[in-house]
Amino acid sequence: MKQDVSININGQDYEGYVENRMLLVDFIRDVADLTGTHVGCTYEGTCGACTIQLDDEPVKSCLLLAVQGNGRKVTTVEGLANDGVPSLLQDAFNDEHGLQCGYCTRGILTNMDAFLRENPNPSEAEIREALVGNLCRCTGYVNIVKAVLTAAAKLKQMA
Amino acid sequence: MNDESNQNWVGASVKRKEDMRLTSGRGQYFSDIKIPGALHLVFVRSPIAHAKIKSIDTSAAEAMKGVIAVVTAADITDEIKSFPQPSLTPALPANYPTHWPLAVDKVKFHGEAVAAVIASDRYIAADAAEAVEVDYEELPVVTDIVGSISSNYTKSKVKRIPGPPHFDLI
Repeated sequence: MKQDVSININGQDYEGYVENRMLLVDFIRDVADLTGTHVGCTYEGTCGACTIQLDDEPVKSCLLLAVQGNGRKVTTVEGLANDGVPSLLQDAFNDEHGLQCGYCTRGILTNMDAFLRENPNPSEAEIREALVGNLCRCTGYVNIVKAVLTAAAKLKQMA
Repeated sequence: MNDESNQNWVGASVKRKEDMRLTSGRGQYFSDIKIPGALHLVFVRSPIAHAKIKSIDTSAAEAMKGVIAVVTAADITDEIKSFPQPSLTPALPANYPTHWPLAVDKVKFHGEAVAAVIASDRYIAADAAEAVEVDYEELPVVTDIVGSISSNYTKSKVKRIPGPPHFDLI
């Protein structure tokens, strides 16, 4: 069974006539052609590489259906930069070596972008708790946490 | 050798070149590559750790719209050779178990691929994989160390094939 779906991703409307069971992550990757969002665990909801923001809330897009995104706003990693200028968070990851292969990083960026909005002055423990849904096989998380702390410090400076 | 220019690089912290691309969601990872007309592959895997495969019925899967092919070991054992996996340990005779990509006659571990479904769409391939019917005859399984050292376990026989050192687990 199929239905029409229209989802606003990073400010642009994407439409499709999709099966009810199509996952939101598959809509983003295959229908909208935004392959920045990744699937790291065969749709189990375990790894967090598919994390996007749905109406500004970080969610795992492999655990949602495309039809659940109908008429709503999605932000993916491609939408974190502002007119081509990388966000402070993205800069921090580049500066602090917060990634190695980068496969999981996009899920962490979308998650932390929302997290820092809610908690602009987090402790290391709070960051680690917020990252519990994002798995990384490369880095050991140390530089990821450092990058988020650096971004938070920069945001505080700007405020 | 210019000593002054060496001092600039030794011990310096050098930024990577790929990070800008990767943190903005770019970077072509393998599954990000889109090839027009590419088909999708889903494996039918055994839910049983040790079993004889009595039969595989692929007719329902093959009849589904969008399914290009359903491949089992019977389709490939005449066409290709098995893959040797040499394991050479000093002072022990050479041991060359072989490996087929799809289970031949027997399933030897939970999750072993039994059939491959190729379809035009990821979801159709998954549906067709569920429609493949495999008849298994369960065999005994040992999954812990205690069981494997007791006298009751069934030892996998290793058959020596004539010719160069070459063994098959049967």
